[in-house]
Amino acid sequence: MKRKNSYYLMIIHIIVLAILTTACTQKDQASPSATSESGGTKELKTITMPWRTDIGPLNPHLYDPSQMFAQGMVYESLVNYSNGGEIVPGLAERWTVSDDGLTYTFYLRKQVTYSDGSPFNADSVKRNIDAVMANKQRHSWMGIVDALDSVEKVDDDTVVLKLNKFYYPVLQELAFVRPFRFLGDAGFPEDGQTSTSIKAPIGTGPWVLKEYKKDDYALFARNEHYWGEKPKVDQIKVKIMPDSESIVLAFEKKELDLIYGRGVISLDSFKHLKDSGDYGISQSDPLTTRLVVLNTQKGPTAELNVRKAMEYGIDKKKMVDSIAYGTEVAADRILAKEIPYANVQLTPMEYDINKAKQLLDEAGWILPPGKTVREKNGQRLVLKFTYIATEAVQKSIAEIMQGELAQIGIQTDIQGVDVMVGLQQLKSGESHMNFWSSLGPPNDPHNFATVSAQPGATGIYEAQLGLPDKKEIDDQIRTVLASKSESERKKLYTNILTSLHDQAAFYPVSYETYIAVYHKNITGLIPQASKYDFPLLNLDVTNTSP
Amino acid sequence: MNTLGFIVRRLAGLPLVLLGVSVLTFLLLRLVPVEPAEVLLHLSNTPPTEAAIAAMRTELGMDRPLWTQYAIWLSEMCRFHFGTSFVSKLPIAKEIADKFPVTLQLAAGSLILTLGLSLPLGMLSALYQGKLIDHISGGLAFVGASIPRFWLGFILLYFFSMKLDWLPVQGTGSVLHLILPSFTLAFTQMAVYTRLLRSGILDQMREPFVLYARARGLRESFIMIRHVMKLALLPVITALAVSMGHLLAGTVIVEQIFGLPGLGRYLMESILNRDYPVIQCYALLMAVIFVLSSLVVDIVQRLFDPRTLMKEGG
Repeated sequence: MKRKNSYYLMIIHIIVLAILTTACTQKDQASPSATSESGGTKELKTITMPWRTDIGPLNPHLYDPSQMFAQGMVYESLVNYSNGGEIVPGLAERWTVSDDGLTYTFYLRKQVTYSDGSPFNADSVKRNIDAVMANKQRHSWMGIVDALDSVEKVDDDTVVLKLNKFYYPVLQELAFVRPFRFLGDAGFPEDGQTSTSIKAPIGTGPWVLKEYKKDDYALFARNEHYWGEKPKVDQIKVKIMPDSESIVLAFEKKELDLIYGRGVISLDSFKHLKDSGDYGISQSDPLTTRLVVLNTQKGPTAELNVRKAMEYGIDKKKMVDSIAYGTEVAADRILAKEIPYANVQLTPMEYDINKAKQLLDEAGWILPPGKTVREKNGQRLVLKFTYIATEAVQKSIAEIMQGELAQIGIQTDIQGVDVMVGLQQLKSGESHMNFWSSLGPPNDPHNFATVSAQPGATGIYEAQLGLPDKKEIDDQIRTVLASKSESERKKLYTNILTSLHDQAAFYPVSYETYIAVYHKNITGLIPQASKYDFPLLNLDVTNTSP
Repeated sequence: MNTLGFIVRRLAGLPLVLLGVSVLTFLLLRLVPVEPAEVLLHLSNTPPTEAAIAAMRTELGMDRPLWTQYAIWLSEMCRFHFGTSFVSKLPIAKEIADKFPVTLQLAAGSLILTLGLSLPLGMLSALYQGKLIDHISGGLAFVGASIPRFWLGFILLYFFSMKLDWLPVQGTGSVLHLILPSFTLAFTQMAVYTRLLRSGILDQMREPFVLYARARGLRESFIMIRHVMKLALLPVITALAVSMGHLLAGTVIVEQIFGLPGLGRYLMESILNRDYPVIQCYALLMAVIFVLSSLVVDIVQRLFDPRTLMKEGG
């Protein structure tokens, strides 16, 4: 009796569950699935790619939460940065610079229209640059903002930028993805100020934002008004997927066509996809440098020999290869040779454990018999090393460095912290070692130079304060940014980079590259010199349903 | 006391709870190292110069004294102006209204699965105590209680989306998209309820009133449903209200893995970005949900178990 009743109960439950499940399935059949959308309904060629955060409101004159690659798809600059550091025409066909370097005249490309069909002209350039300059403080990290005096319209196709002081990287900064890019009149808010919001993202670039659902997806369509060679595919769909492992699964399942960028998927996943041999892989030139900033002001890292011992004591190549699987190259200098002015003759400090030990011995850090950590005047050689807890690669590097440094008698206490706490510690010099990355083209080397001489910003300046010739380095930096002579700039950069290198002020870990993984039906992917401009223009799909 | 009076009395305490929560969140947030102005500049990948930080502080209103900031915020809240996000500059009320349905669907889906699976399992394992089904449900409960959600979610994705290709990896728009996230969320909850119900039923079965009912010759299924289940469900209902927080906390991870644009993910990003106004609103919203859900449970308990009324002296 008892058993029979419980069977009834069980059956009732199974029926209820079955009804629920069927209801779910039936409802779903009516709605389109994610795959058919990404496969391209209406026979449109669509490429779907993931991004981990929402693309933002796409205000060309502001920063986060707008994502740089998306801003780069919609907006263009007067000039562009190309491979090798050369500045090439963009919305300006050509330009001239006055002899004193204070007047830049830009001759605008004719017949350029915004995506809404309205014309791009000198008025438009003036309106945009004025809007950017109205929010000057926000852009104070760029030297051009301090140097720019006025923008004047000469005629419809000519504008003049007047500077109040000489600043050599004007074109490089204009080429950057934000804020000097151009918004159509209809995109401006009523008060004309773009410092808080815009009405609509209207640009001259090859793509137009067609559909957008915050935190879910963004659909970019080809800009039919585009002045240059038009994109080969009709649409780019950016799916917002915060979890990197889910991205890999969705890619393998062909819900995604292409993964591009850095940090979108883990390096282990990259290796897994690469090793499968089923996908196309490409990689950019080295773009940014991953460095460990050494605190030259406090603790054992204030001693040159300790810093040098770190350089000699770690098998860097082995470390980087084991972690990055070829997506990062071991760095032997602060800025990669591909960066302008950075191709300087330097003596690399190559792995030599005996030399490392010798340097420490010479500095008085002696390994007492029976102990594993060196000591000097009763103090143990212990370094505090901070990494960003959410960055898996930093953690792995920190752990390997910890192991390697232990071999030469240096104890490293590693600590994972929140991004912002890490930045704070870098600035306050609380720890001896911190990770830092350079900005990469088109901002380097001048941005590296600027932050090196800028108190209270990134901590890079503070970390160098213990260097005996810090004052000279800062003077040289100030001179180089205002130097009109190419040869003098070259000489000064050589001095600055050599001095920082010889004093082992930084421990360069690796040069990071941008990686692309795509299904084999995708063609035309060539990674760019600037990591903020994604190479989506020449992408094509040979067969719309991969 | 009648039920209406009970509800009114409970709701009257709500403003006080909200005030307390708001003061606490406001003060605790200020203890977090690194201020929002710096975070915003860092997020923008621009070196935070002193001029930029100062400008940003003014823009965010963070340059005012703490108590002024609170007073302004409170007066805005009293007029139901929930403020704008530091990061997106969008009205928080609108963002929450956009994201809440996603989280609500997820929570509802997981609740349906939790109850739909744990009720029969709990019941069967009580009825067949020590038998195979009891061992299976015990094993499941053990696994469910110890398995990390992010891992479970990933394994489910791997098998059901990748290998079997039954369900989509991520996204929204259909019920199919909800199955895996809901199950991920439900699985750990299920473990708790199965065991609770099982022990509840076993306890009640030993009560004299069951023996009496059997002596009256009532059908076993009738005793089970009318007498035993009714009381055995009470601790489950209480646990439901208590675990509301657990459920909402779980959505943070689940929304992340499955790419659902819900409240959990919004909160997570806001915490990382030090988006104070959003975090404050979220805390208040959660307080309201907690107060309301515990109120609902109390009401249900009064209906199920008249003894609660007697204890209240009503």
